[in-house]
Amino acid sequence: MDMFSKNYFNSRAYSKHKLRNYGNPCCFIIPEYMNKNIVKKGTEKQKEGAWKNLILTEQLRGRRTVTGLMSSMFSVSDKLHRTIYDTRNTESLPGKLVRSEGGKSTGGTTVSEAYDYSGLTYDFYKKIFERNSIDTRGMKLDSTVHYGEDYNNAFWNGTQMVYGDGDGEIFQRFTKSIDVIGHELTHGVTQYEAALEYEGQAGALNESFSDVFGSLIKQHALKQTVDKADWLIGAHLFTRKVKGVALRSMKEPGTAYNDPTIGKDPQPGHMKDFVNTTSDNGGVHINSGIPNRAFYLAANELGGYSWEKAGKIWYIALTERLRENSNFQKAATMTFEVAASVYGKGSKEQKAVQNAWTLVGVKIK
Amino acid sequence: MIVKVERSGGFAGMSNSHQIDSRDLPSSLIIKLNRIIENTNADKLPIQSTPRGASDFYSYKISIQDGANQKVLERNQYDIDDDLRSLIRYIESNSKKG
Repeated sequence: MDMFSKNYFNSRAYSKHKLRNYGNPCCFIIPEYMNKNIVKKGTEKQKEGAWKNLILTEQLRGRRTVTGLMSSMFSVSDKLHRTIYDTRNTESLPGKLVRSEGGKSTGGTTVSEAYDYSGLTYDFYKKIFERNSIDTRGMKLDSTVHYGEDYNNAFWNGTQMVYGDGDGEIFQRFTKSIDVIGHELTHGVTQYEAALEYEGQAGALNESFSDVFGSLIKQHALKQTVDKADWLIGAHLFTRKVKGVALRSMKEPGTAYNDPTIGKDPQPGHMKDFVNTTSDNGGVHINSGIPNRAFYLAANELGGYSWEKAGKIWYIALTERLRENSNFQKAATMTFEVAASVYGKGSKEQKAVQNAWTLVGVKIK
Repeated sequence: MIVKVERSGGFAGMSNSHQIDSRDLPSSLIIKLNRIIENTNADKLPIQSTPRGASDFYSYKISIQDGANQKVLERNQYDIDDDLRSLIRYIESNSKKG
């Protein structure tokens, strides 16, 4: 067991979690963390039983739907399994299979980037958080490249990642930045964990967690400490014609681009500038600037590698504390509580989390 | 009629809008536009649910202004049918931003 698991299993966060699971003795005889551990490390038979318990627990809590999980209920894999498809500029998913796990590098740069960066994302979650793929049980990582014509987008459709080539005028291919691939894959993680609604503040948190872990995956791949990281999302996606360095800046939301054609980066970095809008599902890609900056500020205060402390706090909040309709206030409170559980009440880590949220205008009550 | 398409969302989170006078549409799309309006009037426009967990998808607001009457449809990339999809594509590619 690594230090993360050891500390976490011994932490007050887990003690509380354990107690919560024991709250209904008829249903939660084996606590969730134990089932999760068995899914990771038990025999095939034990894994199956533990997985059934986890699904039953989720159903009874009404915490998330388990349809996606049920489809692959009887297969738990400990191995990375990537498949890359090519739609050849159509929009018919998933497209033609062009590369499978361990297969030869074919299909050019775009296919290689989708393959390599999804592997680095898997490795990050496995090594840092002992997470076995998107769903904790080895879900296959499917990606489709060359989607649509001049398609200026990348998205997660609930089962796979999809990348456009860009139009060559504003955007280049969306596989170019590792943080984009980490971002999309993290949407899958969120789907299987807090299942944050894709609307309003919950949606902005959903987006923010994807940016946070997308950035951490890049920092981890580049072995960057907090002061060396660029804290940009989607750097290298713009063509040279665009006046901008990236799509978003976690460090300084609202400063990533300012261009006559595409306009100015609209992200706020403080609650006083929160944008009330009906477009973009209530501004999920706009107001995510606020929790993004909170994460950066916490990580910056703590120093070192951002995934070690701030990343751990945010990961535990996402996987154990937040729920579908959580808002910024809830995220602040939960990260503050997790920091106390893992590092101690009044610890420098807890103070860093409190300072960060205060600086973006979210007061922890 | 003036048809306006406003798109938001996507990974980039950028918004844009395009509009066109229906007289500038090719005849095949005028037929589709009329069908969309008929279905909207009859509340029969097909709606498919967005897959659970889906994110970074495009959202659309389509406004059809006919004199004093206006119809507004709000959809995302998962719940647009073929008629609406081809109309949106044409307007985005062949009309002025506005």
